[in-house]
Amino acid sequence: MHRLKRSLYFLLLLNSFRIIYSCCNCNDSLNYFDLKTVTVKALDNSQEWPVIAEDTTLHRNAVAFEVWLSDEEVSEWACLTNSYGYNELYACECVSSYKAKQNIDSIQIISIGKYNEDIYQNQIINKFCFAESVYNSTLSDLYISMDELVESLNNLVLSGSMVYKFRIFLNSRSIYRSAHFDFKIYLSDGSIISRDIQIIIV
Amino acid sequence: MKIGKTIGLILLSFAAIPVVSQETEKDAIISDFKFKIFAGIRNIECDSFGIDKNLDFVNAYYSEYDYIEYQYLGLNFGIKAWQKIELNLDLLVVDSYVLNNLQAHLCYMPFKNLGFSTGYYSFDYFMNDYDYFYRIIYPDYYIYHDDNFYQKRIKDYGFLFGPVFRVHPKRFFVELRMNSGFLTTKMFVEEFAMKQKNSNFRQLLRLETHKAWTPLFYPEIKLEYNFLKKTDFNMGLNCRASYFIQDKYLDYTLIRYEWTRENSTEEIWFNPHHKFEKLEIDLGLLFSW
Repeated sequence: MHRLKRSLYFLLLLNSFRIIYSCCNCNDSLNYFDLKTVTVKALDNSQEWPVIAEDTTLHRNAVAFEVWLSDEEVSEWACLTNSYGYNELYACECVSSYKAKQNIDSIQIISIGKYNEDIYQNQIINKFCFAESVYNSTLSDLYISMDELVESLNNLVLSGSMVYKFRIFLNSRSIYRSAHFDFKIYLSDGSIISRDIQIIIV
Repeated sequence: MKIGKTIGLILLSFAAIPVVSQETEKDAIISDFKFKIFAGIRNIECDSFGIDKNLDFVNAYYSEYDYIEYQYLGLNFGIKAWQKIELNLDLLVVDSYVLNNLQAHLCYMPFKNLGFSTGYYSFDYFMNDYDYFYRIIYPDYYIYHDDNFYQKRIKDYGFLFGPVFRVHPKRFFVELRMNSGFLTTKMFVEEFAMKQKNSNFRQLLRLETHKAWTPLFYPEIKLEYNFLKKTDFNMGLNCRASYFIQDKYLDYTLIRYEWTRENSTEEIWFNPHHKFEKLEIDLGLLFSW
């Protein structure tokens, strides 16, 4: 009986060490993923903080979008489970680093319809747009240009996520009740990913 | 950090002076040492003008009427060399745990009751809620700032000179310093980021202050009483009161960025002069040998 108790204590102790070991056994190498899809959401920037709009209705002076670039399946939370036992259990505690295989060559935003006196149908409107990366945006700072955005995205290493997120803000006021935009992302492997969005302007 | 370096240099300079003779007081290069520890209160009053076209930082200098705003602890080190030269160093801890106020005096006493002193002076105080100006003139903006609480430590520094009068009846020592000089506020940068309501428009105002040397008048009176008087060691009470008056102003360059940090305009704003008064009273113990 005494021996059995001792053996049980020994096994418990052994497994406790294994838990401690496995929880700290994180893989810190950089993991690469493909950029295959773009998601565009209307962003309500009329108040203090920009928030994703419940519908596609935006204020006339605050037309903004949040753009997500990701692999085919948007998986915000990614963990490595290429182990077993306790290691598998705790692998999701590790925050892995991710980067896209492709670089972004350029981002083009096109107004599909006429927007106002300065923006015509099928016009590239990058010069009327400013941006911020979701990951390092602070309200105590200003926007960055579209070129700076591309550069910052190409240098960005994602932590625990496989989605590049950024925001686009228009500095031009619409004279119409609706607008339609196309977002085109040109990638370094020659591919283009795009998504359009239609918004209602109030 | 700078004060730490200054103390180090002064202590080194003490060590570099050879204390040659202990035999007679007259022959010794360094003849007297004095150490004081004291606690005191400081009250600041500053003219505050109404809202003008531009932000005037001096309007926001912390001044709470009917209350003493600052308390401090201080140390004083003093030595006398060649019988006629005195070096005094005052270090104060004001509303923090670091020595952030410094007063160093070199005093030459060619006569028993009259001398001349020159020195360096730096002291701190606070500026509060200085964002109120932009909150009033930009009501349709959200204003962001680096700090959650709008309080900033301001440092003034400069040079003092003036005559010293003193009398030394028995156990008492009374000294009056009529300091004058020039002080400026250490330059600083403030940024105010703002976003317009119902709009994407953002702007950032960067204010870079300029140096503003202005004259001051700063009389000090010291009273010491030695209740323990031995041949080579004295112990006593020390009391000091000072009044400080200066015209203060802060001009600055306003850099306005719109949308991004690439688009900026620059203008210089000039501000009015304010009467700035400071009163200090402290009490402590002194040891001399």
